[in-house]
Amino acid sequence: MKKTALKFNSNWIACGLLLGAFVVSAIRFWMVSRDLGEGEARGEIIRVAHWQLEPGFREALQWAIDEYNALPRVKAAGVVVEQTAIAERFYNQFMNVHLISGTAPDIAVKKQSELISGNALASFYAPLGTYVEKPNPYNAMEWQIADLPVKLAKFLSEAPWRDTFFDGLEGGFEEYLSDYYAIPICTWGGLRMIYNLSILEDVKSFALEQASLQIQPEWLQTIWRSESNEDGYLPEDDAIEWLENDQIPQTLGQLILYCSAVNALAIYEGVDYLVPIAGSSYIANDVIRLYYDEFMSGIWHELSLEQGKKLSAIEVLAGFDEGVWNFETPMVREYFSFVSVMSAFYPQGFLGLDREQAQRRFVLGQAAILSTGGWDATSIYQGIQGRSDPNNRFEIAIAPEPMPVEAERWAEILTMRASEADAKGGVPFAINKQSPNFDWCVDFLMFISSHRINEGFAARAGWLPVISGAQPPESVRGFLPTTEGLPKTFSLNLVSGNIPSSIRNTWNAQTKLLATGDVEYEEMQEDIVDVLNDPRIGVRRAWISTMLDLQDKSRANQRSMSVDRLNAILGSDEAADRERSNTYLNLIEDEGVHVQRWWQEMYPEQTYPTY
Amino acid sequence: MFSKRFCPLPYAISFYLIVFLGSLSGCSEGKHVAQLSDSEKIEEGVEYLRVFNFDSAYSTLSDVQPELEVSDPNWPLATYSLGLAAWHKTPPENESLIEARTLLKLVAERAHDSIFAASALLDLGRMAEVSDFRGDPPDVAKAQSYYREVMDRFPVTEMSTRATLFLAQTLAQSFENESVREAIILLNDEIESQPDSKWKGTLAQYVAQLYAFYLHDSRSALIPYETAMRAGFPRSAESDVSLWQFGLLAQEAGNDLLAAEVFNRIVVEYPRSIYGTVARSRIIEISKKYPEEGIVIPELSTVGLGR
Repeated sequence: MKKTALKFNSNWIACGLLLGAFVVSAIRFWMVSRDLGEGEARGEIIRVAHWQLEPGFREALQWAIDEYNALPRVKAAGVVVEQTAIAERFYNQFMNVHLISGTAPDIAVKKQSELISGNALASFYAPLGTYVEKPNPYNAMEWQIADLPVKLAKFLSEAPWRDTFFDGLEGGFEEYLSDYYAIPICTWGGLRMIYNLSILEDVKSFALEQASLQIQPEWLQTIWRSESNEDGYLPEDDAIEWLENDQIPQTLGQLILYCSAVNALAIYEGVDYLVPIAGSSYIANDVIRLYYDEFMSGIWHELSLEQGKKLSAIEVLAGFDEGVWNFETPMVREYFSFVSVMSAFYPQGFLGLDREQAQRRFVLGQAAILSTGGWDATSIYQGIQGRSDPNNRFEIAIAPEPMPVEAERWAEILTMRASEADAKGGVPFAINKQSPNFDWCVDFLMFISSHRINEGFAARAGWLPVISGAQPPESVRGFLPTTEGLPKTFSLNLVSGNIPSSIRNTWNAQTKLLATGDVEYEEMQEDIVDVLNDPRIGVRRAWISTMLDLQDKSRANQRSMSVDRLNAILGSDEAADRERSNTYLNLIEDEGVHVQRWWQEMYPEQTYPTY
Repeated sequence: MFSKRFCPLPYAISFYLIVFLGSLSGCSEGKHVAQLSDSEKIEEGVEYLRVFNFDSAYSTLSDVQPELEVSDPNWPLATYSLGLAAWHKTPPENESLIEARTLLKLVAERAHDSIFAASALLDLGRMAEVSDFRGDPPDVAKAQSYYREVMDRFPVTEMSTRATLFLAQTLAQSFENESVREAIILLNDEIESQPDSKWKGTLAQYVAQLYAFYLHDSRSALIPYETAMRAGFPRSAESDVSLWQFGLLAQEAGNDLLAAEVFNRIVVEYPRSIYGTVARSRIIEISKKYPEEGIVIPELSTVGLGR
């Protein structure tokens, strides 16, 4: 027995590995603790984490950090702010692990994940409600840009910090918790179409030449809308007038003419690489998506089961069951016609391309149009200016998607764009509750969201600022949100996250197949209808999952009500306001009571479905 | 029993390492808790509740609450907070709910006139009314008796308003017209009894909802909706949505001029509302219908960036 015990045993390998791992972890833990714990407790390092790797952002943030670190008060305290950029793909994983282990950065961009959502957010990030009600000291007169208009200067110095954000700090507000949990430092703005003006000039002169031929080419003849061609897109006379000027497309008909002309020119000159639109799998590159809400908003009144309430997923789906809409409904059929038309302007195999490939195609002058958000603007400008041959550089124009005008196709359906009035602040920085330097974190966020610094940051990053009265850089003015338009809540939205995945995925997949020409409309319709009618995964199941979801939300809301009532009893007026807000939500939606009522009114003879 | 190649030493080392690490963290925690006074422990427990950390709140408060005498001034807060923590800690289990009910009943009985007693009764009502986990049977009648008890024991207070709202809710959820009307009477009585209450907007908007969507009587919904608008909507962040709904109901009830006034508020007071354009369009339509009224068409604002 003794001999057996002394003999080499493979279990020792496991033991050695375990010991080794333990020793390495212990040393690492000690080093991290020393840096994060003692170091930060002494007020040395405040880490700021984000995932914005676009060119310009990190440099601009570093400028703001350097400005802050150079403040005498900050230097005297030995505080140093540092940024940590993490790729978006790993960001949630990184934050989840570090928030749980207590080693997360002091300040981080708040991103929803399974773990950090709803009122669980309050377990990891600190509420800022009490701070945002007071003026931001870094907006005081002595910190401001010289010669600001008197009214603006007075407003900035006296208004509560919250009110200095152009969106009233809605971008940092958590509805579940009825409190502010983050400080945004920029504005997302709207998605826009970016035009290569060099291609525009060539294509318009080519199209004008083609239009002046005695016998116009077939591709052009199909575009003219007339009594004999109701599937055309715009009247010929209007089109010729536009081709003769140097404007980018001002109407949807002109856009389709332009894209068709790009395709024709590519064939005519044998340049296979040239495409009208640099489409990719990245949703912001999808021009078709820009028109979805506009196409699908025509029947909101008929779909609504409670007038004035935001249209919910179950109202959209119940509308299908009740025959309010189907695939013969004009707006639905026309939307898919639009999908077929526009997808012909995307590169072949566009679903296999990503955001970077789409951008590169545009920057290299191989696409006439790119749709994206303001966050990509700096990359695009830099890409174009970085072309080695100056002759290859080109001017661009940024504009919202054009809408059809009278006499153009779809003018009756597409009456106006969707409103961007509710645009919110982006890159919302939240403070880790476990940070030993909470006060310095708040101070830094006040600094970076002060008018002067935010304007300086935006100018360097090439992003839209978030503070009222801050000048947006000229290069991204085109992305400023427009207030005029339809509410997105009117949309028959089958692509939102609230639609059950079985239906949403089928709708998305079939739309893509239609776009790539792999299915016909009738086949696509059949496949989607099959799913909608399937009791296991369709509308009936959506009623069940909606109820379960609402019941979960009721639990979360009940927790908020309990906590806020306790806080109200203990004297917090803010908590009392939150309690009233959450109580009202409870009254009208508790346990999905409104959905139960809708069901009862629609199907009085049937009990509510369950699993 | 063991194979010849089994050697217990690696397992023993692993075991000691785990015990060693566990004891390190245990020592640290133990030292921290031991250093706190009862008041500090209660404060810490309440602080955990404030950030929705019910498990830690329960752990902290269950350490201190049993040590307190009922006569201790901290007892109502500690017992009530522990009750809340037991109710909301995860996972929801029958044992936790029984403990929560016991603690909340204790508060309701022993701290008879305390505000915590009223709050505990409301919570007992909610616990009776709602299933906290699958298989937890709701008992609406019991919930109603708790709410009525609050209304009797704490009349004309914010707690009685809360109880009235919850009681009205249980009546309305039957979807029977008679019960819904009974709920409306209760709510209106409460508005009358406390005309300056901060809950006025909540009470009035709920009455409006009951008229509009439970009784399908948009005309009767207008007065309470207007009361709520003047008092301030409870969900202030969504005031524009409430105004949009109010305007639609006014139009449905044939009161176009009231609708125009409400839509005007959306455009003027909520420049960032996504309903601004559609509200303005409706004002234009109404102004054409009533040219003699001289309705002024408000202009939409632009985004407040730049100068």
